[in-house]
Amino acid sequence: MHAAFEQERAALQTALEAAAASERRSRSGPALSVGLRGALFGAMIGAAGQSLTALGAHLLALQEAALEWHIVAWCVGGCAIIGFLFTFMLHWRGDTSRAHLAQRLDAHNATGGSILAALELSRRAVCAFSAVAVQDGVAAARSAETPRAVRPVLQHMLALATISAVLLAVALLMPPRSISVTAKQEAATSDGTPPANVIHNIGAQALKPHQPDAPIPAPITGAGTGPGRKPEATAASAEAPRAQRPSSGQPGSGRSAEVAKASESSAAQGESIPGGAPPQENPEGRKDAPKVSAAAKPRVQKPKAGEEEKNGATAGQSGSGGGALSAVKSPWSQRDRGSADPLSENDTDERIEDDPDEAEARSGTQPSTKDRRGTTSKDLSISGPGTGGKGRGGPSLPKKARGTGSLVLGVPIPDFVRGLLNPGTTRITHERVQPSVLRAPEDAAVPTRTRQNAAVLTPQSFVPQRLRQLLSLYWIAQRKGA
Amino acid sequence: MDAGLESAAQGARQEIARFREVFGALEQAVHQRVVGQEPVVRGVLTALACGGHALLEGVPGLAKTLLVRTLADAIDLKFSRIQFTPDLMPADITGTMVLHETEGGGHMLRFEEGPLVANCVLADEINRATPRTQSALLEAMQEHTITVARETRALPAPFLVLATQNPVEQEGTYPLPEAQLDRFLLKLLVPYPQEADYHAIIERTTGSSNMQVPRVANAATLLSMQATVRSVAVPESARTTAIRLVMATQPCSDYAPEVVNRCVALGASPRGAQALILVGKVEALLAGRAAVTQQDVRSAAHAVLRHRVMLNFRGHSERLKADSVVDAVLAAVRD
Repeated sequence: MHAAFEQERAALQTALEAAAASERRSRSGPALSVGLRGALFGAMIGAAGQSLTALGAHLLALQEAALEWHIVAWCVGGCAIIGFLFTFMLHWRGDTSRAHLAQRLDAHNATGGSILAALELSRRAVCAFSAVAVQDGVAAARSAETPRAVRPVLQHMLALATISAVLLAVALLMPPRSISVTAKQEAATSDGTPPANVIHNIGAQALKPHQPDAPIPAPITGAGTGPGRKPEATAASAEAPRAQRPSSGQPGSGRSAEVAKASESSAAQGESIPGGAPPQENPEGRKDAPKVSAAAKPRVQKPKAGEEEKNGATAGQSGSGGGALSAVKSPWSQRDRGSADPLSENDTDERIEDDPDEAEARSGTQPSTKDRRGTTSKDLSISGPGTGGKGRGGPSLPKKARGTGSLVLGVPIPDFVRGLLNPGTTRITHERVQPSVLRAPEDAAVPTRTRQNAAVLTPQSFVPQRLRQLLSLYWIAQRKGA
Repeated sequence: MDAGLESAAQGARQEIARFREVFGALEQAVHQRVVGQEPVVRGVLTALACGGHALLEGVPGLAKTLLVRTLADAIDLKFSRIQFTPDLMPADITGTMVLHETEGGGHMLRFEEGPLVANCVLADEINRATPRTQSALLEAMQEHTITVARETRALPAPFLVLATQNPVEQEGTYPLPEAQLDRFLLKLLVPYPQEADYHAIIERTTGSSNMQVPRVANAATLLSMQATVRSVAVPESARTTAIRLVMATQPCSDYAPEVVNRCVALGASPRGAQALILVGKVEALLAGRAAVTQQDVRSAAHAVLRHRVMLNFRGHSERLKADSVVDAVLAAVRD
């Protein structure tokens, strides 16, 4: 009996091998097409890489902006060959395992999975029903038609070839940027302004770390008075490094008009030109950077009290200084607030930023005063209805009603009891409104199709979907809260 | 081919042919009285062939009870019907010890069988009885025995419980516990008839003719069919599909789709996998095959899994149906 079963198994294996060979043969043509598509895809990748290289060189004005054609050809050709080999082998070999093939044969010939079942049962112990299944599977496999591999669509290849050609043209035809830079240098020298490469060098030095032995270049011109520059920085050359810090990275800020004019060409390229002093960056980090004293900071003129009252912009509206203003203009809610910020009461402009380094210098780390707020007022004033939450006087907020959603008629709410699943939906049987005559909408009764599923014959709600979702979320939130 | 294997294969083929013949005859006999409802009739017969129980759910008037009565007429089986009500007690269905007077004037306790001692039991509106009474069915459905007065008695074979319940009128009902739902092999939804079926229904039921149903099988035939079902071979791929389908209904399992993790509180148990394979075997036999395929298992998924998936609060809130969860499970589990 086992010998006969072995014969059946061998017959099935033979039939599947024949189907596999047939399928592999049928794959050769489509595999070439797929490989060609892979080659085009690889060529597109190579061309894209080369065109990006050329574009980057063009934007950065490098001397090597123009690419050699043979480098481009080698790169694109290599990518195309790799793409062809990869996709061809992937498609040609494919998954030709017997189980996979049996599954494909079943699906293609609509044999109901009998070939796969026979293949699996042929590996197991013999029984009468298994033998019948294997016999049926062998018969189905012998008469099965091998599914043909499908060639890829041609339009994809055309698109890939077009994109590859465009990218290749971009890579080969990208003009070098360095020519235009040289022309600008000559033009700038004839006008008496510093040549662009000088500015370019200055800008390049700004990116380099400070070298103590290297001489500090002299400033091009006087310092500006912009917000990024301190006026004291130009007073002494020893304080020059202090003034360099804020202006780096801001094109055009902290420079005089002359420098702005001289560096117009380079500023257009997005380069940063520091103002008076040559750019230097402290290599030791922020800790060793010199501090800017409070006196060195620019003062902003404070408006006079009379002017403040005249425009009335800040009367009673701000916590700072509100106590010195007329009580008439301040509402109760403002009076209920705490007193003004003690730090900002005298002069907010004089506030020193709480630098951690300075705090450490003042005998240890100090608490941050940035978020310090005044204490709550102890004044027992009358709170208005809108102030709520203070617990003193005035009406409290309206209480939240519970269970309102359950009173809305027509909204089925799942009646979920812990430990008792699926008790059905709650019915609202009592109406809390006075009965009145309602005119039914004309389209209330519509012809329906034949009802197929009796289990879903729940009455359809007339409440909008949005409101039902809102109620659903409400009940979920209630349940989570409980 | 070897003569022994050839003869065994021939015997198996004859068994398959006999199964299909009896199954077809039963279908025809039932359809002589029940109009339409082909999937439901087929499902009930499938449960019968598997030796399992079926739960029929549908609104009143859809011939659920008629179907079960007709089936009992078509098969020469002992049939009993229990109308479940809230005041029904366990002793009312299992039977109880009754004091009898003997001839000599003495008395003795004798077991009086309840309606549960039968081959085919119709539990009509099963969800109207209390959980206590419903629990009396647990032992009978799983072990095919009842225990009364510390004595366990075997129920006659084959034993089949066909229960009905109404999905709409849920007030005053006691939903079936998970343990009992899990014992039903299939849950079949009874839909409204098609328009063409209404003509035949009215013609048959409002006239004077009394349709007689022929007996096409008996208990021995049914037991033989159940043995044939158990003999069907199960390849590994079909078994894997059944296991993964069941696991996909369990939240936080490896195969569970997103909707299961979000909206399902309880998934199917190993009984679900057993039921999938058994029903798949019947499907294979009806297709003339001797082995279950993945497609057979997948086609049984809705009837087998829909009552084994318990939705959580979010699922109820989103008005999700168990069938849509099963659809998601079928989509998530690939062959």
